[in-house]
Amino acid sequence: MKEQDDILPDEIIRPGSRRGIVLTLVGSVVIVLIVNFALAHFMPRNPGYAVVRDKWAMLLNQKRPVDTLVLGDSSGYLGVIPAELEAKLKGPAINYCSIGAMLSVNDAWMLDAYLEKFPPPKRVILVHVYDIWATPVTPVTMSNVPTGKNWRFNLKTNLTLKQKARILLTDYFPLYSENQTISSYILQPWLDRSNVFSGGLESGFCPVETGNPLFVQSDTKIRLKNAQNQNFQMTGENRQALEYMVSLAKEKGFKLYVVNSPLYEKLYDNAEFQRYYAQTQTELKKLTDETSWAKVLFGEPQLFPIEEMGNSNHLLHSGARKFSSALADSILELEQRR
Amino acid sequence: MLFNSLIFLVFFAIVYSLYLLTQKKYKVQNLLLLVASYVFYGYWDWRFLSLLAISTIVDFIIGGKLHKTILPGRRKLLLAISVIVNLSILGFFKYFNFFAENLTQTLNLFGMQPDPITLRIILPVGISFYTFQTMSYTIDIYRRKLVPTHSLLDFALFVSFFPQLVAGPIERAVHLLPQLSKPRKLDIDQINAALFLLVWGYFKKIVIADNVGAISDHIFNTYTTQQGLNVLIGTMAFCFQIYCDFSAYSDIARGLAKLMGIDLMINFKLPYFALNPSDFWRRWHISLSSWLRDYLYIPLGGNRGGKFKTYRNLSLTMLLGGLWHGASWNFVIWGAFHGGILILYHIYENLRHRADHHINPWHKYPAWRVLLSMAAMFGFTLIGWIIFRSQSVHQILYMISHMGWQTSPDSMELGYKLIFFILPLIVVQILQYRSRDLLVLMRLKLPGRVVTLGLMLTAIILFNSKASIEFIYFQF
Repeated sequence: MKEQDDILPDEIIRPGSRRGIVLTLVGSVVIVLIVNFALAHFMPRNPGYAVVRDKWAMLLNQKRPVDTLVLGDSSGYLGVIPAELEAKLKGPAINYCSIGAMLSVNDAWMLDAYLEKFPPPKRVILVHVYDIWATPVTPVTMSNVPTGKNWRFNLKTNLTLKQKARILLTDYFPLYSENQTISSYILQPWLDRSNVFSGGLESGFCPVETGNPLFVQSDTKIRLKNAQNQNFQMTGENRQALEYMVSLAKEKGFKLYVVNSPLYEKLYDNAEFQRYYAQTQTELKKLTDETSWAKVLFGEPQLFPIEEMGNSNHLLHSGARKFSSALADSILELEQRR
Repeated sequence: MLFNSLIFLVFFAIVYSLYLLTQKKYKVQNLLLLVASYVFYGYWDWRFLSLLAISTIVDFIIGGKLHKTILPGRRKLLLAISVIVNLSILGFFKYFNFFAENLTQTLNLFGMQPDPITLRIILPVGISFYTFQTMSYTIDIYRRKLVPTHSLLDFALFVSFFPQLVAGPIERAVHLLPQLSKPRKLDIDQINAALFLLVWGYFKKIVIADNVGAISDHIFNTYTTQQGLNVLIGTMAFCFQIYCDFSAYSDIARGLAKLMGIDLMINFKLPYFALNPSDFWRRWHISLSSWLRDYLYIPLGGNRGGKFKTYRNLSLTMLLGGLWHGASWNFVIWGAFHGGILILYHIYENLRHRADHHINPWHKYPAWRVLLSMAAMFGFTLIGWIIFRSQSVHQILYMISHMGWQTSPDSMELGYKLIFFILPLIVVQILQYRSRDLLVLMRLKLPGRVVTLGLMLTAIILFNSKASIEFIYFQF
């Protein structure tokens, strides 16, 4: 009686069959695939990546060629005003900068896509935060490049088979590759997911009017910590993409300007940061010095006060005006000298 | 090599394929499993394979001699050698620095300033588990409950069998060794059960433990800035994290073993449904609590020497059980806490002149009383987990004294996440409890089973953190 009444549970093994096991396994996998494909078709994509898709859509729909093509990351998206360049360089300009995780690989792809449609521009400006050059490919971001013309794989910037496989996995298996985005919709349903950087789809520039000095300071602290005892090493994919664009500049006859993002002045005060930053410049110069068609602009970094910064390397609108103007002046001076 | 890593899945796929190919030759299978187990263990740090080998060889030889010897003095000596060798290895690697530091601090109190002796000792993974497992072999032979094996291969596999090597269940030779010493039949019913254990185990680890673990880490690591409801949420999160993490390991281990036709003991039987401290230890980490009962509590005298000796034996057993978890005072305090509530419960039971833990309480008492007992025991368990997870006595006191209902700006988000992740566990466990069947989900008809397992797999992919997070009990 005691045993019978014992409350402790046990495992009651039930008869199974091969057929039942196979059907359970196959059926479970089918369920996973159904959920995955439903997500692939109906899931709202990561708003942080929207700018990549938007910029590609701009490029693929562009009707007229430009003289100045601006490529790069979000520091250029928020920092380079095409109208300022147009006014000083006397010719149409457009800004296709998106996000840092796309690396310079995306610049090369966009440049290729542009050159398939139009004759070469007079100049191409690459704007990147210094540490992007040391960053490896993130497949989930690369997957935001449109697949229609297979830009991602048939261009000359070769990714490894593993990187390509991961990008494909991202295309077709969002349940795994975008699980952070999907789970955030479930775990934080109350969050406002409207894209903060959604402006400027005419010229490609996104003006940000107000910032938070505390955020600039905390971001600076993180950057300083990351630079401590670190030596710069450019990632293979960035090197390959930059070398490719330098060779294109030489072959097609356009100027390629590599520009460092603006910096918060206090960030550059730090000796350890200066050491790391100088290493990036040396490396970039080494890659561009082999031809007169390519050049790293600004001998000294462009420094800005806290009131003009959104974080340690992204400008507010007021700073962007100054940065764009300085950029145009620098290009003008170089081109007039020649 | 973690169960929740890609490398392990590849490793197991290879080992299992070879295992199936050698199905008719169990000795070859044993050799394969032994090599696989040493590869599995050596993947962490190959240097510690020597410790595993020393424990194996010493206990194999002593086990054989113990069986042959009839002289009581000689038998005691042999047993003592086995125990001393095993506990010396365990003691050195796990407790040397702890005792050295505390000795130095104690001498400092008396004005002496000895040079502190601390060595950079790495804790070998799973050492507490396999040391206890191999010790039970010689002790059982000494007690004439077990006939030693003549096969070093079988015994080496018993000590190192990879599914349970690093975090249990702590198997007994009487249960596992006979299974390794004869051909094994792959039973389709067992494979069916293994399927559930594996998916449920991975679900508990990846979906529940790792995600609620992020909540508990946040609260415990910033405890001085937390209060009220957040402290409660953090404690609850750890409570479910440690259960899901540890029981998941056991489930996966048992599932893997079942696929190979080997049965490992059940390690958890719904511990948070316990009605009292005694009931809790019949449900929580059963392989350790029964080991402590059989090889420590009962040899100390158990409950045979009157109340005082019973309480003393309980205290000692729980203190050492706490210390088994790690060389740290919080584990000792945790053991003492559980020893304390066990003694209080025994006193209460003695006053009532009842010992009715085998009687179904739902048949005997009104529902409210059963639920109240469960809630009270759960409350004690929570306090225990605060002690277990805290880094200092100050943290223990702070967390307990600051627990309450006062909300913070992030309370809603943390609470929502906690409930979201533990809800499936609660639903499944209520079904398990009501049916008294841990495999209750296998009762579902095929479509229900497919949907349930499919959704669990979906959640495993969706809520995985991409990086494999270690199981908590590896550190013990």
